[in-house]
Amino acid sequence: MVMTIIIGVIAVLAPVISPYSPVEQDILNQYNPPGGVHFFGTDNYGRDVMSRIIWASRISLSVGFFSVALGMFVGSIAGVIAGYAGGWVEGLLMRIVDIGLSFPTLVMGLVIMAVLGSGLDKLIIAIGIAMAPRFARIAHGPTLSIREESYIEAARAVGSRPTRILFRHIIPNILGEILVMATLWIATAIRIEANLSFIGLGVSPPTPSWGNMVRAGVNHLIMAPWLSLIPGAAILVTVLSFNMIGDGIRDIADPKLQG
Amino acid sequence: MTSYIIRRVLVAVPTLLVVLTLVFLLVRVAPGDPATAVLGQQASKQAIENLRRKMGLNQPLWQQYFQYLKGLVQGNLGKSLISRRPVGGQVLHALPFTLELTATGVFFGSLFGIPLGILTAIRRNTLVDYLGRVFSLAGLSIPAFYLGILLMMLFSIQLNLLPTVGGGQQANVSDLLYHLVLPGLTLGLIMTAYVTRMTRSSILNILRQDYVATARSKGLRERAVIYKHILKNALVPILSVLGVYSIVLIGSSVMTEIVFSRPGLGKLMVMAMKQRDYLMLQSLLTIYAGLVVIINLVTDLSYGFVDPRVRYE
Repeated sequence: MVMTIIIGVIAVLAPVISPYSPVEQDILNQYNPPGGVHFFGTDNYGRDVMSRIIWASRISLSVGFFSVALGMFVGSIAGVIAGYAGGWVEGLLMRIVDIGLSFPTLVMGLVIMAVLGSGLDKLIIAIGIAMAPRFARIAHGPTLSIREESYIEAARAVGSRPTRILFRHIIPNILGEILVMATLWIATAIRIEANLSFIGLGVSPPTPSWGNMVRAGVNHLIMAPWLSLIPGAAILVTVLSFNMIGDGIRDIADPKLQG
Repeated sequence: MTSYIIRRVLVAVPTLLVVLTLVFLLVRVAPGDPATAVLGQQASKQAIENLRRKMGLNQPLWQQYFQYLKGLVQGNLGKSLISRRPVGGQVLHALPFTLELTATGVFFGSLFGIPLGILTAIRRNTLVDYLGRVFSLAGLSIPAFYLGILLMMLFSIQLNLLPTVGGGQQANVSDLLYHLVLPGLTLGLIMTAYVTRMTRSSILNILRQDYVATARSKGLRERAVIYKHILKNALVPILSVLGVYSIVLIGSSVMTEIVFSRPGLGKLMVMAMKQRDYLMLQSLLTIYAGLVVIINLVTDLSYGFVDPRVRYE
């Protein structure tokens, strides 16, 4: 939890705490090892690695939060509509969800990125869409049982419109479960962003993202291993801390799963 | 059993058909004209138009779709837009590299993950359990490409024991295995994390069952309780986890292939995306969808082998 807060603060305060510009090149200071003026060293263009790591945290966190928010919004609404409407609407929506679930999220993200092209906004949309089927599945199950509750029947009897029943009666009742899922998926979204940027389909250089920094460093592994190792460690620490929070929240929400 | 397999395959057909249709439409709404992608922005309008006609891109969409399906049924995946070589041949060349990698990942994952999961569940809330849980959470968090780089630095650059890149020659088994160790271990360690976690929670569930208490109370030795009563019952959930995570592993295999420059499907797919080779992309996604259907089928069938109570009706 503490680690996540620290990462969040670093991302918010990036312009203030970053010692150098993340994109400014200094050819005279290439491949400076970590230590001294450049705490994490410099890269092949003489750019300060620490400043790039700090700025890149903004990309990772914004992709993590916004893509999960998008996936949660689209997926939950689709799942709730499928569960409440039943019939062919349910059949069609859930078949699409099943197809979405049968592809690994990373492969889905890759394909959608290929269609949309690269860029931060597209990255968020791609990962959000890739995650939506997961949320639809989570929202669909509980909706099926809530649909049969007497308060829903009562709402229908007094003439409430379906949209009102969905937003006032069903969604608030399943929101807890969906939010727990969302916390767990933030870590996955950050990891997928790193993967896509590593392949070169996510955030394009010179804008720093941890994934594209690791990729750029791979060509200099023998001479300057820190160029890959430090941004990689940043991904690991961030994803790990979000996973720990997700695990903790899930344990509180569902004590049966606790070890 | 045979009728069950036939029925399952038939059920998979409509799903596959919807996937194929989606893939077909998806690659066609992608921005950028494939003919322009092949010839470059400087090409003349006439040349681009000629190539479009040659590729069949000026035909109505439904005609292209039926030709694609017809080709698939005949086992003809078409020609790559970039290299103009048949896609089928390239996929067939790449497929073994991906299958070997995924299988090695599942093998290492089961080899390390199942015992570790059992151990952490039985020694619950001890140091062993704590370390096992930290290990599995770290395994779930580390991106495959980063783990690959770390292993490469240790075993290839520092110790100089294993090759850094390449897939080896398919005809030479020892060369193949030599090139498979590091990427296989990368995927295997990630799979171990998933399997450990799921095995632990299935075993914990079983430990709470009455028949375990009965077995203990009639004085059975702990070893007999674990092997005869707990492990046998935990095998079905563990197998289903292996199936589900084999699909996750296919995703991670893309990254591992890129880090280790293995000439597998993942590398082919990323290359196709960068070159906007839609025909190649379409075929690769079809293969991935097929793999997922096969993995699901094999997982379902394997339940019957480990648990005779499971009947296929």
